[in-house]
Amino acid sequence: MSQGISSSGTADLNALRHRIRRLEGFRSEAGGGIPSGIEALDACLPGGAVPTGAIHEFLGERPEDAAAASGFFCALLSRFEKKGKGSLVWITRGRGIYAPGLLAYGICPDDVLFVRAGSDREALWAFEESLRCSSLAAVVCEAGDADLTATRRLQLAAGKSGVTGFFLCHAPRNATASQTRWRIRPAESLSPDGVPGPGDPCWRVELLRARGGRSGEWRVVWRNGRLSAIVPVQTGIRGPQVLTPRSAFVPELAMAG
Amino acid sequence: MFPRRFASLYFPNLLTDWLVRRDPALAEKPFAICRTARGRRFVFAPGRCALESGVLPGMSVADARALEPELELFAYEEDRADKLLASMADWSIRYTPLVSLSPPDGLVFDITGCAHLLGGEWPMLQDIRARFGRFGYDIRVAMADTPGAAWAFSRYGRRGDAIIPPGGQKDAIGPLPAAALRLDEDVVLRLNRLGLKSIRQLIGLPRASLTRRFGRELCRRLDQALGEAGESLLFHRPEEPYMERLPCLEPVIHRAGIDVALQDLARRLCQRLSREKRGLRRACLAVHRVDGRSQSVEIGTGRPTRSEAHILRLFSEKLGQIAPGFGIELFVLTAPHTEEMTAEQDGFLESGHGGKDTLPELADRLATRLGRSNVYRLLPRESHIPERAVRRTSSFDDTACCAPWPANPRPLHLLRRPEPIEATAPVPDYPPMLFRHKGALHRVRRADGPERIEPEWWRFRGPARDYFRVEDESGQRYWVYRSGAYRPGESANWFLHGYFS
Repeated sequence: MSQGISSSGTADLNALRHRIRRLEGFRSEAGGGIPSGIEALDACLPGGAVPTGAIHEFLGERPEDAAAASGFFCALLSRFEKKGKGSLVWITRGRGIYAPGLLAYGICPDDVLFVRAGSDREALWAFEESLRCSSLAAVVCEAGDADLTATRRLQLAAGKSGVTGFFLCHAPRNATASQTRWRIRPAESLSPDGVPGPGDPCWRVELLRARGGRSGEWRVVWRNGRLSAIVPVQTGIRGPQVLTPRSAFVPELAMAG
Repeated sequence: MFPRRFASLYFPNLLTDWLVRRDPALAEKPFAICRTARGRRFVFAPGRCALESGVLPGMSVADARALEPELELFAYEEDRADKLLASMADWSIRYTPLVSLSPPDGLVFDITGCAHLLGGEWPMLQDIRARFGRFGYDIRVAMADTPGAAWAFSRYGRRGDAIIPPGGQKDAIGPLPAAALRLDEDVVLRLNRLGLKSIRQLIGLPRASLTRRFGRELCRRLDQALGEAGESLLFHRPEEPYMERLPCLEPVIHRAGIDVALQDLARRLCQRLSREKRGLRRACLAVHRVDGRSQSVEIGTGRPTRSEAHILRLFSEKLGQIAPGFGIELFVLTAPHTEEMTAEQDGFLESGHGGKDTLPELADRLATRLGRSNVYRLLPRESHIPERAVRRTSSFDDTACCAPWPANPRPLHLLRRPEPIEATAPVPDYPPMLFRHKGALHRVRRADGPERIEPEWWRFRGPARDYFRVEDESGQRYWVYRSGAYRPGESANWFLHGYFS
């Protein structure tokens, strides 16, 4: 009997999850998303991957955080680009992205269409228009803030076309309807074999909110064209167990040695 | 039947007159148009002042400079004369609908039945002369029964202008030299060697022997000039503007009406464009209201398009600006800028792939609202200065041709203008140990550099920059530079220029 439950039970569970996700407004046929390459992180996300056809919101109040967030989602985007789905639209407001910096993440600046918006309103309008264009791989928008209605519209547009939106929010105040919300902070870089100077970029990735998923915090490194989690050395935990509840996570201490 | 009448216009100094017309200051200066042939530069057409000081066509540039040291030279442009003549032909539609180009420096009008409109042939000739003269062109005009005779008289006639009465061409062209028959140079040369200098001498000779010695061309030209053989001219066809008009019986006051009108116009315009294998880059909708006011809205595209849906979509952004007032009675859609467009481009741009929108179409829509300069692609430019290493382009066909992207690590965010920081370096050429930016103190833990970037001396003089990648104790990564070399006794200027991710 127990065997019967386990085989048909998982199928039922999956079907139920699927239904719930549909009720929550996810595009079921999108088929989840693209794995980030970090098992622990993917486990927290619905469907075990960074969902496509959704809005991901990144908080970046300070320029350092904004740069770190840009770096992190560029790393994610490089996986999108590998899928060969098409080009990228990058909507900026004030803070300019520097195209040669994208090369470090394997994104060719030639394939990116840059849009400069004069106001948040214009930026969000351009964001929504771009999200409706289904031949794109992803859209990045940097803006001050967006309210619940605006993000719901964006979420609907993304869900319909299957284009993923990355929203870098400079001054978050409102609750938003985005699928996930992240805060990325820079962390001490790792250089291989003790080479002096700044090494491979590392971030403290905080998943603040994920609809249909769990929140968590990890230290992530971008090395050799892929993302991976940094295993805290002293705790000795390896593999997927790196996933730690936010309260129990001691990244600074772990890396001090 | 009416005898046909032709006018031949000859511009002896077409290109130099055009240069003076473009830049009136040249009228008082010696200048010449020069050409290069077989590695030798020679004067092709001297300006009036140059001619007075003895510069002649065919003279080598060095000789001309010796005569006139101030001589200003302009390069000969291959198709300039043709373009000029074509635009003159467009303008000449005021005299006759049949205008033919006669390169390199003339036009031929078929004025059959047109002269009376200006009060006869002589007033017409005066009018042509006066109007072209006002544009600054030297002109000689002749009218005759045949294009050949008119051509001969405009170039070789004793007086500048002449009207040969109907049927009088035989007597009139008799005294003219043989070259007036539009012959090849070597034929003229051979005729001259034989002492056959004027056309009258040729008319009397037996045709068979003329043909045997000089080819059929001579007799054909002779017959054409005398009106014994017909001559077909290739008439210039003015380019029809891409314009569609829709007058409304009942004035339109609603948006729905405007939409329908625009749809109709766009369909007609796109049909014509696809017939002529062209696509539009700019389109302008002008509406004329019953109260006499008119308004217009304009759209632009990044690539030539003839997709009706795309044009309508771009216009729908702008139609809100139109105030119909008491009603619109006339819609005019024009395409002032069109480009050739192949069938593949058509298929590529068509939004027919399962309703999928393409990137160029999206870019056009964004540009319509945000402005074309705000929607762009970034391409590398050949410069090491970080803020100059990138150039913008709004075209999708532009590709990075020669310049590569910089190979050294570059920050993801670059400050538009470097911000000054207070930095302390242990040794002059070392990266900073700590720096203060906007009141916050950053202790540098790791640093890499320097990468020295020299200023571009051909643009401006300035200090070199030594760039360092630095990481502070909380892992934040910056791109800072020291401006100028270290000088004892002076504090170095440090700047923050970017944020690494």
